[in-house]
Amino acid sequence: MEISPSEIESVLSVDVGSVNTRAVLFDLVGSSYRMLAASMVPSTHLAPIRDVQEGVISAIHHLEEITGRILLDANHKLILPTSLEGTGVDHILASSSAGLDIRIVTVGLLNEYSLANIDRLTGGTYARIVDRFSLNDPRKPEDRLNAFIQSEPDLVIIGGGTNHGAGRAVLRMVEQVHLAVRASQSTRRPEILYAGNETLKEKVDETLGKLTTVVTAPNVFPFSSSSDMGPVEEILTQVLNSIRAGRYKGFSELEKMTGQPIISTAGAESRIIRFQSLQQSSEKTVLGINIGSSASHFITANRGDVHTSVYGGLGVGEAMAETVDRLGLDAITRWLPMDIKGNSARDYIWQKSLFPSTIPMDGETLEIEQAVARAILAEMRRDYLGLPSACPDNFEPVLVSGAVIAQAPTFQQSLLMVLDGLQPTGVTTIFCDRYGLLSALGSAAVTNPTLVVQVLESGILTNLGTIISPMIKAAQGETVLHVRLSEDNGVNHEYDIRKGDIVRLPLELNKTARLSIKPLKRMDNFTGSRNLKVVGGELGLIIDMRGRPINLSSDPTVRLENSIRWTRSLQEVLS
Amino acid sequence: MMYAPVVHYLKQTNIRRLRLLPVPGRLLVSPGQKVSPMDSVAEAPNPSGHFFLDIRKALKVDTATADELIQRKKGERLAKGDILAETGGAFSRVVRAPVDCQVTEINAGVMIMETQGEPVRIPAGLPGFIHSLEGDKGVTIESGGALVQGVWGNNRTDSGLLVVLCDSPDQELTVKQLEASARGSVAVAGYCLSGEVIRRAAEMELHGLILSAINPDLIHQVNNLTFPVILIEGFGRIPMNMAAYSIFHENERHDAALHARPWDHMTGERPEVLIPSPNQALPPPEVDEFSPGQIVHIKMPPYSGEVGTILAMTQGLTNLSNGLRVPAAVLRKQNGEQITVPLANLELII
Repeated sequence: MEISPSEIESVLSVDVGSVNTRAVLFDLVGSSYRMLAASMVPSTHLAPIRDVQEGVISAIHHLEEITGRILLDANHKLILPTSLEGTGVDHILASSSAGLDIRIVTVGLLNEYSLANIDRLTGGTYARIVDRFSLNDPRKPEDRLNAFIQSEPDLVIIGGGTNHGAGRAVLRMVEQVHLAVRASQSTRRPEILYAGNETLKEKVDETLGKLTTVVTAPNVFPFSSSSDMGPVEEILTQVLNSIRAGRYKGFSELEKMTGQPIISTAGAESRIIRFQSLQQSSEKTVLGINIGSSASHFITANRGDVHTSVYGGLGVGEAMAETVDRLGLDAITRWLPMDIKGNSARDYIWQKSLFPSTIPMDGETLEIEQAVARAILAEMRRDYLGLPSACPDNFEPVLVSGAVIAQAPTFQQSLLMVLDGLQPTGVTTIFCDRYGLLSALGSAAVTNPTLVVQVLESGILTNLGTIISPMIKAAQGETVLHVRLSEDNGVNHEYDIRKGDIVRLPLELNKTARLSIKPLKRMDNFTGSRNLKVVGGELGLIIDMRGRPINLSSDPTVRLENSIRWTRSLQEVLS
Repeated sequence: MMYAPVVHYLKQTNIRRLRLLPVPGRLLVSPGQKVSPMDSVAEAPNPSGHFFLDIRKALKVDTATADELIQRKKGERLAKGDILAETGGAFSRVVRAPVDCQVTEINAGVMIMETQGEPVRIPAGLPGFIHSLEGDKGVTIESGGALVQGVWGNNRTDSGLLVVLCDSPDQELTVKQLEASARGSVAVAGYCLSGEVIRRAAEMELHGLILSAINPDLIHQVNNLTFPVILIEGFGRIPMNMAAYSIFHENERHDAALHARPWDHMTGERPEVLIPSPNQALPPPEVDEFSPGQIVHIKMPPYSGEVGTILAMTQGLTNLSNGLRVPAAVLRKQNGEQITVPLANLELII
């Protein structure tokens, strides 16, 4: 029985990750949607179970235990829609970040235009670009052919040209793809997604359709905005899902159950980041970060224009060894606050890659994972700053998901990881998604935007606090800032802040106050007002005067002392 | 249901193992046939690359003429020196195959040729019998004996006489241990941290090396060894667990087959050591649930490589010393000490 969106009351959202499967149940409480419960169980797409659905059913069963509500029937099938007895749910949605092993080759006319745009299109997917081909490829034709075949793509995305523009160059590229696909083993021929000059669709289908499956999509024009990409993204999602469905048992059954394509976790979260960016000033860029097991992502949105980058191979589980390979061990050990020998960190990182679902058991191994998270954040930020549209100092707010940060044992640890890795300047508010809600809400955003708005407004994301990070050049320990915090009840607190310190000012959760900032030396790059309205978070209000970049001493003893000092500072509120 | 990962350290079992080609090919064995670890059970062609021959340029003719002059058809196999195209006449110009190759494509006067490398052959990897054929992709082999699974392998296969080099499973492998008794054997030792030891092992004509763990910096070196290396625990200074070590110890001087394939998390296939014996036993289960009384292996520090017995499953979530709250179990280690370990860090020994 189909039910219209207006009749949907309860929504179950499932996210199948490379390590864990999460389920979140939303329902109307009074007149507003609320999150009722969230559960997390190990994913089951890999051996020995090898069926996506087992993990999904297990996660739903866990929700039943938490809520006492019957969601599954006697055959362990989800009851859809809600029965008259109140069992089941009205709607189920799904997202996934599992299946990073899909290999994509991209083909376009020029690196700077069509290929760059295809990169942007694929940037939000959990797949790997294994090679790129364009007219300005310097390789010899046979080298290109051999590279194509050896890269063993599952999917080739072809873009290029404007509609009704000259098509000869595009067709030449298509001919080359045709040759390469023909030369590939017949059992290993990749599927084709054509998103170029739309007048050539039939010719492309004629040329390649005899060899393999060809899917056509709207043209990915050069200079497309993120909103133009929507239809192409949707088709790409469907193509990737069909490849995944061939690989992972239960994937297509899950998709059938939801009645719509399973979207990527990053894609789901990007909807929320975009939504947030439309709610606020255009000067600020909303940032969403997620450190996962086999991939991480970095999503920015400004006035609705979203940029999503998924970093396969950067993560704190299966990808940990690749992370250390790519970033270097020093990029990680520099963040180790304890006296941990580099070899111990290296060994742990490799061991964790063998057993990605394991959990750090002691302080030392927890610190190693948190150091890897810092290094990944720093790398993603560095990569982001290379984009022409990058706004380095205006992240507001930052929404953090992924267990290593969002579910760290203490808020202080979560906050320090984000500040150390991102090193934001100016004024930033950091929210943690402790229940894995962003992907769940993103999945629901299209069919039930009311749910998204009401759940976000219910304060379900954990506000760690507002962070003020002025840039003032001075010697360490020198007093550089005088601040006055004026609470709404008329109580004023005044503080002198020294260079090198990070401090917590007393402001209760969700209480508002005014903060007046008076630099005692020249203050650079502080775009915000010096008399701010601020809202307290779990850690109150934080002033980070450690400078940018944070100066980490090469002396491990000093580094350790600083780390202990910063952590202690965040444990105590200034009186 | 909380599924528990399983690792096999079995003194006697029967197993069936799939051996599949990456692409369809030719089977080299029949059902019921006895195979040794190094026997190839299937092979497939292995294209090593492609090259272009522009007949237009070589014969200085236009495209249409080039197409007419080409004497070969798509799919034809050619030997080095075979004529591909010629102009004919008194001063005939000829284009010959520069190497053994196959015509992949002929398009607008250009021939695309494929060269073949040595066929891909998959070894049996263990001694046993061909249980069944899997179409044109491979076979299932049945075998029995003592089985020890590892966590990492260097993608080699071999077999030989098992020799235990260490007195206890927590010793670091030394050059001295290798030189004393390893030559020509499948050697079992603790962990290895030194590149010098690996260099020396390469000179000892080993048929295999089973270690508890290695320094990750040695991975490249170990991958280049010509004999199989299997790690039972992983990376770092980790002793070999007693369950695996005692199997090796009890089977010293027996033949052992090493299939050091990398661990495939998708299929669950792991690197394995099989010490064959004719006795029959039931195949082990691949999945189970955690429950009190089970023997478990701890995968991560600070108890990496230790074995314990589950005394109780903790209710709800347990607070770890680092502040994380996780599902856990209380174990008694082999030394009698009781510890609490996250379930995620355990695997059942079956």
